[in-house]
Amino acid sequence: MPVIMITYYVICVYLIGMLVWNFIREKKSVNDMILYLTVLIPLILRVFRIK
Amino acid sequence: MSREWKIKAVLVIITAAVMAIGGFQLYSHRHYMTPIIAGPGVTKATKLSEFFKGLKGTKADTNVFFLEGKEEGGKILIIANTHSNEPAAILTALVFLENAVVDKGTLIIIPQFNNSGGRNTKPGDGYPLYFEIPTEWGNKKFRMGNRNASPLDQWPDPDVYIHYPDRQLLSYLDVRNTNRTWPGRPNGPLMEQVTYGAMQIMRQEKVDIAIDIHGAETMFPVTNCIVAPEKAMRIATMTSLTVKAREGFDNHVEPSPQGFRGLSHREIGDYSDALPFLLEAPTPFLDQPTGPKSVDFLLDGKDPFLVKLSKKRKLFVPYDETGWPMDKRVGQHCSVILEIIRQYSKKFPNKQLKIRNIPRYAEVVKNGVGHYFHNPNETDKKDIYYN
Amino acid sequence: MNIKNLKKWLGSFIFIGGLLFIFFSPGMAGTEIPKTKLPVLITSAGQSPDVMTINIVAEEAEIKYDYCDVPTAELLGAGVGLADKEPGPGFHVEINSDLDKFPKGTPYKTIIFAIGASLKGMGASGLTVESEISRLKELIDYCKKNNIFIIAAHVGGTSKRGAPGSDNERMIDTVVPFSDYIIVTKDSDNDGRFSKIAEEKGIPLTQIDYALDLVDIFKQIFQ
Ligand SMILES: [Zn+2]
Repeated sequence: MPVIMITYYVICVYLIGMLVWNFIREKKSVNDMILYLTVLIPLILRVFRIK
Repeated sequence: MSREWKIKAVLVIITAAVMAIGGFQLYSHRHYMTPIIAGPGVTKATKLSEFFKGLKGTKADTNVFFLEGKEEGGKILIIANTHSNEPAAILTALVFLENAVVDKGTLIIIPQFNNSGGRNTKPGDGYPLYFEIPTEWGNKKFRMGNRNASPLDQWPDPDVYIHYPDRQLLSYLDVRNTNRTWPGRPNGPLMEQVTYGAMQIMRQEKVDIAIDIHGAETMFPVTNCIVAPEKAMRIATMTSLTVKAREGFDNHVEPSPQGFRGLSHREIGDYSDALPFLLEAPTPFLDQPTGPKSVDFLLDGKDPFLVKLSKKRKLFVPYDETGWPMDKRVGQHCSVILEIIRQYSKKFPNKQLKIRNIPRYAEVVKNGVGHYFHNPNETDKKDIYYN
Repeated sequence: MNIKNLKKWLGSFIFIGGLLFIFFSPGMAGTEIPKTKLPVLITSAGQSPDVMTINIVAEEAEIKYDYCDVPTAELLGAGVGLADKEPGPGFHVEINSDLDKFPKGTPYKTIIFAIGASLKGMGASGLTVESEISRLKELIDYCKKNNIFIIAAHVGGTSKRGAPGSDNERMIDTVVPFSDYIIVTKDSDNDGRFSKIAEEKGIPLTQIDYALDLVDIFKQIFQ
């Protein structure tokens, strides 16, 4: 796997972590919760490598 | 559990459900196999990776069929589904694959040229995932694919695609477009390897005629035509004049521009001895200002917005309430290919091709394209291939 | 009127129409096809790609022609071989004449104009509509003085026609009334414009259904 791909997966995992963390920390806004989850979808699919 | 966590749990479940259902649909589409039948003329079934090893085991590898006549003669290669959202191409290729009897010369068919693109979709345009062609034994189901290969198979995209070898700057998307990556190279992006594989067939087999079947918008000037470079111009023009006079449909000739690189009708001619022809049939489904991209629209080509545009003379083909049905498109492709073969055989008598049992325009329009597909349940298992 | 009657009525209408067509058709049955001689030069009036169609059809009819898209009267006067002019951007030359029969310099006996205006084509050869028309006038003058048989061919259909005074119509005005023979496809002559010129000027005209029919016409003309 070329370096660029490894970097990409690392970035994906990092973003997933940040989004999950933000989702957990969000107390009030349901709107923001939905947004965090929506943005998560493609990142999770990529990391799971489901083709 | 607090109210906050109840909400969060519900949201997570909904998201997971959306992911699972949507993902499952896309996953089954990507892995759906259409049985295709090798007809009486097929003498050899192989893979593109046979001609370029690098494709082996990738989703870009695809079926290649040889129909060799008893007598030696000219060789023709038919490439279909270069763009899998122009499916009149694969239907035409299957009419040839399932029915053709070759008496002289060799017919080579690649029914699903961009295999990865055939397993991709265009959610932004609301493409259907499948379409079905009615036949006498039930419906035959096909995947509806996309113009470009799936990013799952070729990634990442560059900012700008630098064409090889001319270094012309093309859109980043075109790095996944097998009608921009000709003539390709063995160590390039996957789609350059696909076109390279096809170039290898043409060079090794000494192919004389290469036909790349497409469809184009009715609002685009290069539609309902044969695109050909200078060296194929004579045969293209005679074909166009003949189908007009004998079969009554228009199909004008467009010269292949020299300054626009990466297209089959340009590079095949420049990098091999084959005469390239790119066939375009009007495909209203591809136009932008239309109603929903439904399966019916894909098959009958009827759209009220295009009728309005036609009245304003904004379209490049005649268009009315009758639309532009699939049977008409496939029929045109069949007739034009047969006529190119006839004109070529006339011009090069020592490289003649004789192919029987292929319907012409009027017959396909009358019987419907489904009439020419055979029932896989009544076919010998060894003649069934999966695409 | 019920459907059955309508069908009958339509049927007889089509039948009578067909008879009328057969007897009064200005088409291939109508006019005697004139004869002319080689060597022939094929050229364009208006620089549309239709001249390529004419070239290819001539080749199909096994007519050995010379071709130049933008000859001047002087170049036409140089006869077969077109004074060995080298082709260049916007200037195309092809010499296919049988040089054993017609050595270089043999005066042309026939010229074929493929009529159809294309601003793109004229632009590529550095011409404007005006300069193209004056070039054509000089050519036609030269032909008249030197007894060169002029064939005017229009095979581009409605897309190569237009409102009176438009580029396409001006090309027709410049060439057709001075020609010795007019060949036109049916869809090019939808409005009867060519037939009318032919009648007024007493020029033989052949109307063909499709451009492909030119193959037979060419074979007969140069028999
Ligand atoms: Zn296409």
